[in-house]
Amino acid sequence: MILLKRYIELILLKEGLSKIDSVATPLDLNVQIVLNLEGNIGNRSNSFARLLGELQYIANTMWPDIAYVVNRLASFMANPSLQHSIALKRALRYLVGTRDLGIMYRSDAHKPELHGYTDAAYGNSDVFKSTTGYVFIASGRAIMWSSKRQITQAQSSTEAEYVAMSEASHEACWLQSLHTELRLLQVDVPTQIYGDNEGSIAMVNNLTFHKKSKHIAIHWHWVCNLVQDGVVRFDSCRDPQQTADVLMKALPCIKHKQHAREMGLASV
Amino acid sequence: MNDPFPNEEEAGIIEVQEEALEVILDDDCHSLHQAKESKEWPEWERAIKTELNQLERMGTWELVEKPRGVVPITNRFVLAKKCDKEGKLLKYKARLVTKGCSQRPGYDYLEMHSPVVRLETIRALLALAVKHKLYIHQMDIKGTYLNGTLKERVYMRQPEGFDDGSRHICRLIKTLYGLKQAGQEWNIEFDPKLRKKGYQCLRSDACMYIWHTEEDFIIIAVWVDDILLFATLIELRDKARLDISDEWEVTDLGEPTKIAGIEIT
Repeated sequence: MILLKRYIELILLKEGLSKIDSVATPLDLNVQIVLNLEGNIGNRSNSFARLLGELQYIANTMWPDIAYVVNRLASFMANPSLQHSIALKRALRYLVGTRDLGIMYRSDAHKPELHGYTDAAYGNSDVFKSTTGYVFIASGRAIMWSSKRQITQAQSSTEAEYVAMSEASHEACWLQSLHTELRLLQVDVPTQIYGDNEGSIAMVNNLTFHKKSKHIAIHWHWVCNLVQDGVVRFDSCRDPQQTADVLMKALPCIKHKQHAREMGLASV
Repeated sequence: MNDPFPNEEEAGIIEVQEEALEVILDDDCHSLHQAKESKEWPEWERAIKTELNQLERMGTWELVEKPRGVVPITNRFVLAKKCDKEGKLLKYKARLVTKGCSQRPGYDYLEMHSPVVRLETIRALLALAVKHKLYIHQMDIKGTYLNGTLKERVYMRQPEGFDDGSRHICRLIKTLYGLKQAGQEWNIEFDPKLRKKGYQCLRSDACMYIWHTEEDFIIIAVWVDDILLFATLIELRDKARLDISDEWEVTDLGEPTKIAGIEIT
């Protein structure tokens, strides 16, 4: 069982927000986060960066479901507006309600040993780049996740997903080598990863030359080799099962909770 | 204690010495000067004396005449109160640190990178530990960085407020806390020692070590001075505990409670 309760309480104490009310989701669905419109450059208040850094640690260690909001807000670190500060406080208010949760590592015979989900949100950042989200889950408990803006600008949602798959398979490779070195996993079983874009799954399984994909840079195609070598295997899954959704966009409360549960966040 | 596989009762010799402590930095007293004026000065003074004694015992520095042209780096005491889980005050702690920011690159340090175990690895290991029913154990190395030996010739002023008035300065022998290269030298200290005992470093994480027989294994994960042990058998766990306490002075923390700020229950 891993917990961060005391750390969260320490932050609340420092911010003087011990009695703050909680909210159900870390990011408001109805608010679109935009660049600082007032453009008040010079307001480089350290408090935004400090709190963001603290939340970043929380998102990296235990809370995959705030990874997206933290990642999104981090891109405004240089010049935060009031909107960003409010969004950050909201993430903190979400943690107030969930601080008792932790990831309880437990072996569940009826849950798959290791599998991953990957997803991408097309062009949802300010510079029209897409966001990758992936999570790897062992017996129903998340062990590795990421929410990150892609480095290249995808021309289609299929390309965005394709890039996300390639990034996720890096991690799958690392996990496999870790397991192999610990002599705990058979090497010949490919790691199962789910995506929800048929086009990109077809592409990794059978890369053919096509007008709409011919521009994709060579290093993303590495994932095709991994599929051929049987290191990873991609299958499709549909929306409610797509756990990685929570790593790349704001979700309504019910869905958010469902995905958090799927990643193993539960009360003690 | 020489038996590498002590049975359970014998292993009880290395019992848990200290509960996991939580450090609360005292906001009232940021500097030595403030501490001297506070009511708690006798306690702080005792803590500082303890720290200076430990530094002397470890041979951290030697006093030398100040060579010409040398700019000694500065230092300070970090004062903290340690509390247990309920917030009860357990002890006053003082630690002498150098001000690493006053070190000049190229003169006082060259390289300073050093690995720690990745958070993903810890999580993956915890997931594996429950699945394979591994024994988990946590240890903490006392005065970690003071085990590392300094390669560069670094001079430091005498401890803040405890100058013997001889105008001598300290030539550091061990990596005192706060030095930029301290983390790296600690890594250089423990890595070969663990390897010599037959632990192999993993390629996928530079701070993980494994020792195995045909079926059983020990895994050691190192986060600076915090060590997590995973073993398939209780005998192997105790072997690893002995291997580590042979080399360094350790605090045995028993079942892990906290590593890298993550609470583990």
